[in-house]
Amino acid sequence: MSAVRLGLLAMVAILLAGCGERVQTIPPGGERKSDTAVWENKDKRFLAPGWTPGNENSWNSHLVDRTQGQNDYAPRK
Amino acid sequence: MARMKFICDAERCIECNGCVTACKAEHDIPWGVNRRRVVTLNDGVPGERSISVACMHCSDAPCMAVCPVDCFYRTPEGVVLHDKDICIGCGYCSYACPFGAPQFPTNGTFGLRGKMDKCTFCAGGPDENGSQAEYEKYGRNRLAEGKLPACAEMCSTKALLGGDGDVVADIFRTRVLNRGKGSEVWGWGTAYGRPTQGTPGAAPAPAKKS
Repeated sequence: MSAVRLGLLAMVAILLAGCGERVQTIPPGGERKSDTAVWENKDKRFLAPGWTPGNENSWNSHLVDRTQGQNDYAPRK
Repeated sequence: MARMKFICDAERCIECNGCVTACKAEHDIPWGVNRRRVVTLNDGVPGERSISVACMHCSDAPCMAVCPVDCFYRTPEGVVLHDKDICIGCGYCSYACPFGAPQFPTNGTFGLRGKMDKCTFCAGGPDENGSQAEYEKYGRNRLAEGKLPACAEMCSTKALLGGDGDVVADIFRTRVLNRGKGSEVWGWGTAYGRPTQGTPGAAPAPAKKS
C-alpha cells in the first residue's frame, strides 16, 4: 500500500472521528437553567437515611448532624 | 441556612491523597483533571506541611466576576457552580482563581480544551438532581442525597473538613484548643489575628507625629 493511500486513510479516519464530537451549542430556549433546591431529589436510590426529601429543615438538620461526624471531640451519643 | 465551606487542617494532613482519589472515583473524573489536589510546602524539610486544595466556593468568587458568559451561579447553600451548557471554555476563570481550581479536560475527539470543570462541593449542577445528565457533566450530587463531599467524608485523619461553615469552623476551633496550638496554622492568623498584628479588637497604636 502506498504512502499516499495510507495518508488518505488516516485523513478519512480523522475526519470520521470528528463525527463523534458532542454538540456543544446552547439548546434553543434553554439559555438559562435554574438549579433545583438541593433537598429536592426524585432519585431515591442513594439517599442517606435520616431525613425527608423535599423538606428543607430536615435536610439542614441532617447535614449539621452529619458534619458533626467529622468532629472527634464531639460527645459520644 | 447552611453555608458550605471546606477547611483543611495542615496539622493533620498526611498527604495520602485519599481526598483526591475519592473525588476522582466519585465523579468519574477523566485523566488530566484534578478537581482536588494536595499541595505540600517545604517538601522533605522537617516541618513540611500539606494542605488539600480545591474550589473554596468563595463568597465573592473571582471566577464569577470575570466569566464573560456569566455561566456561574451560587446556590443558597453558598456553593459556587457553573453551567457547562453556557461555558465556552475560555479559561478566564483559571487566571482569576487564586487556588487554581478550574480545570480544562482535554476530552473530545481532537483533545481540544473542553468546558471548564471544577469541584462542585458534590452538589452537581443546574440539571435535574441525581439525573444521568447531571452525573455526566458535573459528577455525583451527594448533597442532594443528604451526604457531604466525598473528599471530606473519606479523609482518614479528618484533616479535611467540609460542611456548614459555622459547624466546621467550630470543629476546627475545638481541635486547636484541645491540642494547645494552632495559631501557626495557615488561615488562623487571617481569621483570628496574629500575635505580631496585636490582639484582635485592641485599639490601634496612635500614629507618630513627624
